[in-house]
Amino acid sequence: MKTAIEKQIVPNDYFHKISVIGGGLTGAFMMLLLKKSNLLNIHDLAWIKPKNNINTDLRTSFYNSKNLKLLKELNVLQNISEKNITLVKEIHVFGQNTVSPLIWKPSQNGIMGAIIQNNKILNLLNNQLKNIITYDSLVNNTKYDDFERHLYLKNKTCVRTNLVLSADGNNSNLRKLSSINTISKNTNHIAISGFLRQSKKHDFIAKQVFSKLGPIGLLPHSQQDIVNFVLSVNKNKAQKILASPNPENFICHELNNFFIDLNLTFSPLEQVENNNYKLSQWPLNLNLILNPTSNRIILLGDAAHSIHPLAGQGLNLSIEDCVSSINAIKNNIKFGSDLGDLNVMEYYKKERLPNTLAMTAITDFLFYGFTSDSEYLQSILSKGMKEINKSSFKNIFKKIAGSI
Amino acid sequence: MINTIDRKEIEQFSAISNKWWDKSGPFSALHKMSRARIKFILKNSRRVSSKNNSEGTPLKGLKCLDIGCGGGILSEPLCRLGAKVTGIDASDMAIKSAILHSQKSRLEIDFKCMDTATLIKSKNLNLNNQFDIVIASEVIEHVNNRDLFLSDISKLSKPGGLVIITTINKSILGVLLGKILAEEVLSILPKGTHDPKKFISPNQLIEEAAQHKIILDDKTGFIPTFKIHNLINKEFGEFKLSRNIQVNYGLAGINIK
Repeated sequence: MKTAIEKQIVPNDYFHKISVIGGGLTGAFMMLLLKKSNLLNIHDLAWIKPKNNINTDLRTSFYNSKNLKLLKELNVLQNISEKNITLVKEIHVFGQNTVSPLIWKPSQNGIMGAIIQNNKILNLLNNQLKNIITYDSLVNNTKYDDFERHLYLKNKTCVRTNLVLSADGNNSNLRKLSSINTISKNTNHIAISGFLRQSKKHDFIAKQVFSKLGPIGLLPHSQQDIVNFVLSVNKNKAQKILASPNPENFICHELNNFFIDLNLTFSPLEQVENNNYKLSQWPLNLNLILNPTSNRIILLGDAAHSIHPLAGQGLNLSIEDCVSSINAIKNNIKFGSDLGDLNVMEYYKKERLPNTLAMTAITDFLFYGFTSDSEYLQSILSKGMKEINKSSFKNIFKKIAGSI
Repeated sequence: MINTIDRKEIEQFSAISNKWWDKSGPFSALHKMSRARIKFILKNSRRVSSKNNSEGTPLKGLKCLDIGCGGGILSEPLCRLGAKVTGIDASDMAIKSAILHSQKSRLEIDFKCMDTATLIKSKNLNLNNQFDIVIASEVIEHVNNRDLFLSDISKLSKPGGLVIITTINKSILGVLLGKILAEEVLSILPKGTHDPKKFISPNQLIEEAAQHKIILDDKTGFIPTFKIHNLINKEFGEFKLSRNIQVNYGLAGINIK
């Protein structure tokens, strides 16, 4: 069988069996899984992404223990120093106050997961993917027939492919071009992320605080007196916070009041790891996609689901999407079927939808519950958490989050 | 020239040859059987394949003959699994359909419009004793001279080569499901597709093949699953391998000539 390169039809018309769209963490992770699976020749793979535009921000992501193990198995972590991997030993979720937080611990001597900077992981993934055929462009249009999906790129190239794995983000262009039905939820919230100094050592405990300002996630940093915060706050308040000369002061004030009983205080800091940093901010546009597939298309990561960051599970869901896609492809290849066969899409949907829907339901429940104007509802939720903490029900959340 | 072709049957298949790849058309049952057939072929291919073959191409390096290939429903997956496939069919229309589909699927399969006797006699091709795997899937119930057909298979197969035959059992269930239910009740197959007189039991087929040094020593049943939407759409569900050989069955073995 001829390779993709030999099968060029016209100079700007190329064929690859599988095309991955998106150069973010999900796209890179999907490509690495495909490469390492050895299921296809390297020329059978195409990576469509605009030129590497790695952000200079220091944003991090939480990897649950299962996905952390997978990163190690794929040798992604072999060239990263241990100080860049911040282990998370426990997760504490606080309701309205510091009384009776919901505490998640690993089952046995293990860890809940680890926090790693996005750019560091992306660099490590890209280093392993240098020999992949890459198209530095965006998809402009698409159509399909019984045999292939045609991707028309902005640089006038056409990539023909049997299967598209699209990780082109929350505002996925391919999702729009292929008319995949999307339920958009307007949270009216903005996420603000940065770093704070903490008066006591964080002891590798991640905290989720449902403060009056909005949900705040506090992720441990490798320096034990620093935490990475992610605040979700409504747009009006966000504008006020961001317009002030020291936005971090607002957040410190809120946290200091919240943790007053524990004598825990927070203060702004200008440098992290000897680098000046800027606050990151992004709108929280949440989407629910009940069928993340179309003809010869599988959506991955934020293109398939964007959930609230309060549980730190977005990237974990995305990694699991990639693993499921590989399983779906393997299940098809072993029968010699067309890679874009309906069975691939059906397998993926069946495997991913229950987890995605469960995680969406949990994060929506917590987000909309704790940000509602009803103090009565918030009080019930806080009391409910206390009961969940005592019951085995908590293990269900843990299982969904893949932390066991 | 003496051959195994039943002209009437070939005309019947030619008339619907534009439907070979319509998965809900007259050949839907063959599409639904595809994965089960591949599973049975792969299980037995270990007898002749290299252990070093990769997961995606377990048939790499094997020359495979698909007799009565029709539109190439079985030839295409065999090619993707790494085999060097030759597909033959007596229907010119079916072969045209197979060539067109395989080209659009970017697969290199050698399709020829001919029967086994012509293939054997073709000095240019010189394909006697050449094939590691010879497959006659859902074909033997359509030939008019079974003894000659088995003899041809034996000649085309390499010594020590694998032979795989799948067909409908000459049993009450075989006639009920393979003929009456499929053709008369559900109309999944065009009327007259099968002649129960040509059905053969596994034991008789094992006996007849042995006379041509083909020792068929592995067998499986192919059983259709039925889900509610399959019944509503008047179609078979996916076929599964089964111990029940009363309806469709497959036999596999080695040519010891």
